[in-house]
Amino acid sequence: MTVHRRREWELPEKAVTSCHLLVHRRKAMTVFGASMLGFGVINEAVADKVTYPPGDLSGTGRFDPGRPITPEQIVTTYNNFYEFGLHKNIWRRAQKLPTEPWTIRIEGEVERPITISFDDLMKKMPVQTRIYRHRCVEAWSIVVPWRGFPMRDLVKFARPLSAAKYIRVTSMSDPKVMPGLSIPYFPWPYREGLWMPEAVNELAFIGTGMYDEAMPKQDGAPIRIVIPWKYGFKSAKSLVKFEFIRHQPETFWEQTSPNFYGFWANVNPKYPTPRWSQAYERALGEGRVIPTQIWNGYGRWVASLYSGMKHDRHLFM
Amino acid sequence: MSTEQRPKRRHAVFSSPLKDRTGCFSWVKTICLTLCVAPALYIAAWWVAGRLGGRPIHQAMLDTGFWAIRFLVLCLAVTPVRSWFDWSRLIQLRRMLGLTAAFYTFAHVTLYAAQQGFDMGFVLGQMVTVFYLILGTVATLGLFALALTSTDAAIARLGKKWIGLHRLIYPIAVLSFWHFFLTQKIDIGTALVPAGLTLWLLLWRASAARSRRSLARLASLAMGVAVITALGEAGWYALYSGLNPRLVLDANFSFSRWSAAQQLTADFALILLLIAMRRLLSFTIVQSR
Ligand code: HEM
Repeated sequence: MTVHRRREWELPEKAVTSCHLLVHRRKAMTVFGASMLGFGVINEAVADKVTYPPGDLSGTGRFDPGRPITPEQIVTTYNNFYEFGLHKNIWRRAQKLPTEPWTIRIEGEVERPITISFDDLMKKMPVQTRIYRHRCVEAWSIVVPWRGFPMRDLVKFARPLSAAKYIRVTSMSDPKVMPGLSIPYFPWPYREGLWMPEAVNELAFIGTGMYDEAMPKQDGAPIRIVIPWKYGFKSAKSLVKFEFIRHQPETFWEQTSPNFYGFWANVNPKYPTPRWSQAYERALGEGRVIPTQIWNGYGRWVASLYSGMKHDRHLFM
Repeated sequence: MSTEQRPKRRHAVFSSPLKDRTGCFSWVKTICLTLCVAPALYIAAWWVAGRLGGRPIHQAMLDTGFWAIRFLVLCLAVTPVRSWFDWSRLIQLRRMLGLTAAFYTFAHVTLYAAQQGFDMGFVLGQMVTVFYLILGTVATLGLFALALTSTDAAIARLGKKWIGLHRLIYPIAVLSFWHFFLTQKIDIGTALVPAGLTLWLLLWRASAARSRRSLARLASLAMGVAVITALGEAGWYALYSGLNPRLVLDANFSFSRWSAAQQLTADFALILLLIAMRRLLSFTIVQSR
């Protein structure tokens, strides 16, 4: 059970409009069905029915998610964290992860590679709260009040050289507490990556807590990335390494299922996975299905990053 | 069949789940019934205790689906197990196991609808358009048809046709497994183990009647199925993911974790051992008599 307290960064009830998001079910259904069968071009008219508020550009409403915050109980008990098991109910097991002390390695194309403890890093970073929508590639979504600091502050702290074009992040791999690592054919440890312009985009965030508390272990304690315009698997958890590199890194899911999940993984309702549609998402805790939006509705911040690139499946899976 | 001896009396819809055909209390049936109900109680208890995770309806939907397929496999196992263990009375469990599979399927589908807020337009739309749900739907309709024709009255009425109708259980099982495989995201191991067991049962049935009692034959089928499972697993990953199939195959020779083929081999070995013991035992009994 969660007791719902209003916190300072939380939006007033009236700001959290939901009526404009209502799905036009019948239409939605046929479109969803058609795209599932693979004839699918999503009817733009339907997808356009939902627009998230742009957010006023000052103060707390800046990243207004336009949807109610998901109950904490869901966000902390429904988790993909394959190191702990291939199902969602891993939160108990994840409690075994030792997070104190925790050291983070920053290396690669940087002025000076360093190893720093999580606590020392936190002393140097400007901690703040961001309420973001989080869209899982499995077509469900949540709205989470994260705590942490902008990723660009970490990049600044790392002082990358001009040769650094990408960042690769690596998750903890501890076979003593992570039974998933015993599957020998998966490319452990979990690795993800970002293109440098993405990493320094205002939205890219480093999560160190949520719901006003320290990060729960199942959600990636003590430190993870949060990239709200990309599918959830990009937002790697429990990080031990940030590497600044010259070439686009290979990522865990790209190596595991290249026809499902790629490096860019930007949210786009138009590009289904080979097995399911991405046109809609189940809003957990709200009991409804809503249309998915390109860039997860954050196009205002990030669409321009990709203006020089070809907008094909490659960019959206 | 012995039940058809009393033409005057109307057939009861079901015989009591606790009694055998002669009306005597049956331990075997009672234990079986308990085991059939237990998973449902277990799921319900976990739900109440809040242990099903952040999306309890979804989790219960997955769990009931898995139990549906397990009971389907158990139902298919009745005839082989009867024969292997010379335990003909086991036949009285077959209907119960089949109905249990149908009940868990019903729960599974109902929970699926519940998860969609019983928006039946959406649910039915999905059931006829999404490929893996089409498979599930056809299997479900089949299972329900078999369940409804499982009453004593229906068996009597359908006569010979009943057997033909109930052979549908095989295509239903194939569809159910296909559905199961397609729902798995990356790790198909959980689906491969029951699928391998089922394949073993089916291959046994397909073998010539005279070789069916041979333990060696059963063992060689088991070995074949274990190999097919290992190759199938590697093939699946080769086709559907970028994983190196060599590594997937190699995992069968590592002991860091039970691979599907290893689990199957252990299951097969255990069953074969039990059969051997059973035969040895009856042999000594016969000898000492
Ligand atoms: C109308 C019929 C059916 C529908 C709508 C349906 C729906 C579903 C859905 C939505 C999933 C979960 C996919 C996911 O989110 O991972 C699922 C999984 C599953 N279903 Fe069904 N299903 C149907 C019939 C059946 C039947 C007849 C069986 C077997 C007898 C079955 C066995 C399973 C199994 C074993 C799973 C996987 C559970 C797990 O991952 O643990 N389903 N089904």
